[in-house]
Amino acid sequence: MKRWILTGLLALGAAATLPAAAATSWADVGKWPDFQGGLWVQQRGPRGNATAPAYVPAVAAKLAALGPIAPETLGNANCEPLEGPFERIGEIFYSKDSIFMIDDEDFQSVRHIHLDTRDHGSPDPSYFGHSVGHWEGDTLVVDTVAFLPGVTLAPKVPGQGATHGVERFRLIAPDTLEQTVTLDNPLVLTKPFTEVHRYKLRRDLHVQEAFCAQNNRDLPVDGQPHLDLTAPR
Amino acid sequence: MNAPMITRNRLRAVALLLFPALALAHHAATMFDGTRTVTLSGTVKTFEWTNPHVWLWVNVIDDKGVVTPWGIETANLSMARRLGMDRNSFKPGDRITLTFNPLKDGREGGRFRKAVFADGHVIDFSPPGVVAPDPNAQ
Repeated sequence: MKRWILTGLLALGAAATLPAAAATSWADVGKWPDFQGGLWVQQRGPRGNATAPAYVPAVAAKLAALGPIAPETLGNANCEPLEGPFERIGEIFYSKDSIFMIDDEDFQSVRHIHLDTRDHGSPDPSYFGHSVGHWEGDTLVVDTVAFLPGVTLAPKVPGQGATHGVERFRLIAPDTLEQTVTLDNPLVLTKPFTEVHRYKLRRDLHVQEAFCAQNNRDLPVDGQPHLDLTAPR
Repeated sequence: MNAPMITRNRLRAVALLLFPALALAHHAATMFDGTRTVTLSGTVKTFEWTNPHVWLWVNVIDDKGVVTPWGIETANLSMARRLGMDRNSFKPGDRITLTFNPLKDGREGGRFRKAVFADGHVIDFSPPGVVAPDPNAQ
């Protein structure tokens, strides 16, 4: 717990002294690295420096004891984004004081990254948490806290609201975005965990409507996994 | 449907692979047998270009002349577009040869892999380099 307290104090201290990153004009926005223009599609391949996460003993024991998991019982089958925001980029849009990441896989999701403050304040807990961002050269740095307790770090491992995420986004080649994610959670991990994802920009694709209630054939019945195979007329 | 069975070692491997976030999918694909593919010929009954997943229904005629509709789940709209599918990809009456991962419970359904049309054009969900629906994903 001491590490968490220290991390929090350092973050608060930094927030009190660092300037906000919002632009004062659209001309300034035009100077930012351009992450806009289409849908970012995650690329298959090794996940950078991903290594085994170091779980606290209670979580490691729970994972070992879980046995087979019926994934249909996880949140997504009920349109609930319990996996959090970190691989939901979709399409990126800029305003002068915010960056939005709008994704359309399975359900509509919006990440609002605040550039007009470095202080999280006291936000309502949410599925995607509260994100503040700033530019370090050509790298967008995003700091996220305040998750709902059920948002998970691994299947069936809720973060209990204590997850802290730091992401670094940068273009490593034309239309190629690298996202380095470092997560810390003293209730789940013994040390922070980092992994890297890469995305290609598909300029021919754009975010679209994704309300999953339209034709959801995957809802569990009586708590059990179920796939409705009733043929349409 | 029986809960999908995966070994603890596989569970650990999956947990590591997917950490910190679950792979993006409305639901997992373990109700499908990713180790097997089945190929059937039939006629498109209807094509549901819908959220959260796109469904293809194909009428298949057996040796006795009985017509059975098979329900084939494809992907979410966004992923389907990325893989070359759109709302006009299938029309009722299209004759296709369909390849899919069958349901483990034996019902007439599966997860889309590929469709070959009578004119020879193909829709294939297995292009290299893109994170596509994974029949073995947790």
